[in-house]
Amino acid sequence: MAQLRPEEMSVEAMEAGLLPMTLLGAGRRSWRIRLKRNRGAVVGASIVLFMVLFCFVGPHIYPSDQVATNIDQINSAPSAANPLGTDGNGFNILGRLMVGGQSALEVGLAAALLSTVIGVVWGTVAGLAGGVVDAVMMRIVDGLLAIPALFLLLFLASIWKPDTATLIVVISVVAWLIPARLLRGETLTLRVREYVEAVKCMGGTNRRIVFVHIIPNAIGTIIVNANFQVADSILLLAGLSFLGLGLPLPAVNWGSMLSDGLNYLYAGYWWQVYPAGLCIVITVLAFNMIGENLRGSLDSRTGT
Amino acid sequence: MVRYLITRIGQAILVVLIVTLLVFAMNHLLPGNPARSLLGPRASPLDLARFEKANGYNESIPVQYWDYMIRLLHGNLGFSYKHNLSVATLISQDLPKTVLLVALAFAFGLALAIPIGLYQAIRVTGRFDKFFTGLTFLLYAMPSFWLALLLIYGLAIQLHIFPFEAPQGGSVGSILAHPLGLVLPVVTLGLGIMAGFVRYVRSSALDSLVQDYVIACRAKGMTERRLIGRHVLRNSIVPVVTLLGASIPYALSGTIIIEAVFNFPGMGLLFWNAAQTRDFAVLIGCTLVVATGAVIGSLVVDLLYMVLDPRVRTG
Repeated sequence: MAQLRPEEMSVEAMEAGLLPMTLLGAGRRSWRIRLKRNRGAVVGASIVLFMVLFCFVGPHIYPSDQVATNIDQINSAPSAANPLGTDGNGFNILGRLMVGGQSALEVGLAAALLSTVIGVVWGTVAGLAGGVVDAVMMRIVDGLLAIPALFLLLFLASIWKPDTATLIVVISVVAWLIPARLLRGETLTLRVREYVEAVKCMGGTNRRIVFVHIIPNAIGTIIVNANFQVADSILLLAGLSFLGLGLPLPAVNWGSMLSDGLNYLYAGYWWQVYPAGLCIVITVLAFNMIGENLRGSLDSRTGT
Repeated sequence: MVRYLITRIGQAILVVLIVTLLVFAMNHLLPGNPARSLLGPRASPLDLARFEKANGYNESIPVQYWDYMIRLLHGNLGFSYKHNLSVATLISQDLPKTVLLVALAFAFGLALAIPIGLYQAIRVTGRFDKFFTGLTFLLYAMPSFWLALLLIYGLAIQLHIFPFEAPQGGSVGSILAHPLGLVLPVVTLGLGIMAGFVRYVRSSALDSLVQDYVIACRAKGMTERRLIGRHVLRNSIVPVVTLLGASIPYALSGTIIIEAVFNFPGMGLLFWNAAQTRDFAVLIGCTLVVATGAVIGSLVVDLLYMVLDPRVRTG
């Protein structure tokens, strides 16, 4: 959340015993059975699928002009021609939601992927190296975590001209810290396991330990966190766009639609405020649902 | 205990030092170089050279960092050419108002989160529990600015209960003089804080409720009210306190959005305006101050934790 992002407290919550510490040790069979029992993850995934279809296939089924402004029909209320009305530039809002969702999903997924990869590598290396290297790497993470994410984000967005790629990088810069801390924790518990000791005894390389033993065993944690990362990235992008530091026009996304809608709040043009906000909430909720339920089904301790 | 204290304070100092390094690096990330970004594309080479000399940019990087640290220790956070004021002055005007906002929001958020989480744990899987699990999940997924817009639309524009804008004024006193205007910003930020904490209070209380001392108290015939109020509540709050420190940076992030939506004259608004006008001195100064504030806040919370939990104190 572009305000308090509860997921980012997860490491502290685990240390305080308020969240499952690790998702290790969930057997494969029980994993499947538990997943089947967990309807929430399936519902979340279905919503995500629906949103992807809505945003990427939708514009082909329901074409609308999202490039040329139409001064004849600005701020018109929902009608047969425009089911969700039009905005201050005369754009059809239903069509705009589809186009706006594309960048939200693209940036959200890409930033989650990038930050997860960086975080996993950073955390595993730190955990495996130990000693001074670990201390230095983790203090860098602490230092960056101390800077409130949105401050760093706005700073970076104001010095680099925003385009999709830059935004993905900028969001990843603040988002990789959590997977890094999680993976370091996992690595610390995994590296003293017998099978890792065995690999070391047999002369296995560190690379082998990381890719064959640590990452596959930590995959549950990684996947669960990646879902929260997508949700957080979508919220961050929306926040940035709302603050006017997202992609410049003609690019559009749900956050900038809300920002525009704010200008007409007084006139009571609710259709410029509710739909875009709902799209963000539903999408973020869906990713959180997947993450939350996977955490439940993969966690060997609670198993609920 | 003394050793823990020293380690913890040492750690905080180290993190602040790393933050200064990061912020110093941010200054060098500016497009072109600091001189060019301030004086603009049409500045003559002579002007650029003069500016660099005056601000020490012609020195080597380590020397520059050293000078930067010396300036910081003298309270010099840089100069805003856009405001024609020193950054320290700007921040000292706006920071107290943001601190007020965050403190009130934490008070509001925790005042809701603790009883709700506790009651959820007592009636676990009941209707109340399910409702609030759903509600916090929803709040979690809600961008704070949208929540703010909904509140403004409903409570300010439709019902005229609260003003749509935060109180304006230069000092904390002038903000407090219009408490009604503070309600919506504090509630919006506080609801986010509540959503973050409810589940942890619930989970912590669930752990407390199955402890042996709960059975012992019940066996002694203690009333449920006294048991929850005296024993479960206190033991459930302790682990949650550790999260307070970690949540400070996120609450501070939230202030940018809340202050931008409600036009609350605090540091978040100062920062947002600076980001739009590319007032880098303000951006960098504010970042350093909030980060240091977050580190200090989290240190204070940890020390508070020591007071609350004797195991940490003696261990």
